[in-house]
Amino acid sequence: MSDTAGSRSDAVVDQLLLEAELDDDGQLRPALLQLRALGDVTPEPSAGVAALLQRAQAVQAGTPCDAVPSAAVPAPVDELAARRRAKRRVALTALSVAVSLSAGGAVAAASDQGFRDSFNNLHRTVTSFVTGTAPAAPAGNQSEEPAAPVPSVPAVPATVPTAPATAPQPGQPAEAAPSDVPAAPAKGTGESDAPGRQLEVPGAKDLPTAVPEDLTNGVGQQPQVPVPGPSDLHLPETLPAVPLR
Amino acid sequence: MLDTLAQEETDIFDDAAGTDPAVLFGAAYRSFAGPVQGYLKARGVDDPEAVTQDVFMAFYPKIDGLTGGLQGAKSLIFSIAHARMVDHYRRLERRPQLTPYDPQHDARTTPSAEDHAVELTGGAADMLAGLSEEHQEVLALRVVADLSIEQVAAIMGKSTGAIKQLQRRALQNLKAQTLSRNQANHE
Repeated sequence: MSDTAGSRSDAVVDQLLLEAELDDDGQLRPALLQLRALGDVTPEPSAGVAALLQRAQAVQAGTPCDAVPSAAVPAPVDELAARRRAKRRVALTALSVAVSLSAGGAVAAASDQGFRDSFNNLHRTVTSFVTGTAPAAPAGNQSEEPAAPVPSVPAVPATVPTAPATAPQPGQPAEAAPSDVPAAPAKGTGESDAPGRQLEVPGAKDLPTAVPEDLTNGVGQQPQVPVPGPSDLHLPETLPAVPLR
Repeated sequence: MLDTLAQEETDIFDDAAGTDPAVLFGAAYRSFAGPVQGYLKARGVDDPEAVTQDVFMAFYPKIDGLTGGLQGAKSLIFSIAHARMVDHYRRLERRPQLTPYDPQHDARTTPSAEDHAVELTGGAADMLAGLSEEHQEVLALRVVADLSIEQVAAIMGKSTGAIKQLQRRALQNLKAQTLSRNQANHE
């Protein structure tokens, strides 16, 4: 056996030296033979390999396969693929959980009136803080504003005071607002922006138009506030109270 | 040993259709387990015996789609072994190099005569140590694994011309290295 193996090794080494066109000077050849001898030892099979070999012997000997319990043959597992699958599954699960959580949270927040109100309050507080007003001022703004601008309107035309008296009704201010030029921004920005803008330009002439917008936006309590407003037509003297803001 | 078994294994693989994969597996193991272990040993893989078993366990599920007879199986097995070897070296690169002090590895001692003698006779595994990676790989696949130039080219992902060139340079380097080593041993 060693003879045939040796002759085959010789043949392989000879062929290699021939291909490389190297003359054999007695140095390289023994080294290559020694290197090749590394592959002569067949390792002892491990448990899994031994089970597979045993099965092979049983099949070759004609014994039915059932003689060797197939359970003895461990199912070879592709660990790398399994690990990749598991990693992908974890990522997918995390992604779907995050998406469903954020969707649920968004729906809950959108459907909750209290949340929207608190958000508006927060926005208002931040706006007032940024513009340098005391945080309590915005709350007072809405109640005072109807009183402040209403007198400013009658100050210019004499017949107007009747108009603010009817303004608190929901129908008329809506019609009057489009006719006024500055009404458009008040519409688009909604209630949250209205106080901020009014704070920035307290004495501007567009204030009266902004105020009816707010009044119509108020749910029902605010229309009652301006009603006494027109009756107190002497309030123009209280205008200096506005800069207190 | 290879010659006596070779014909039998070739026959098994030639009429592989309908044969139990376990039979093909047995034939492949008998033929190539030794060369695979030798290849891994020559490439300096830790625990070549265990990695050889791993290679064959990874080969078993692929027997069904195998084509090319015994040579095809050989190519596939050594491709797997090559991949395991590459894995080994990548793992080595990632591992931090920890070298606790070991008096046995302290080079500041006079080498013993026994070690010297063992090195003279049993240094086959370290024979390729001084060569470059590619030269080591070509020689291990050509000499130990006994693969053809085409098979080596397929495994290493190069052209046959490049493999021939690599092989010639590897042999020249090995020759120079062996010469210098022999001279050092004689001194």
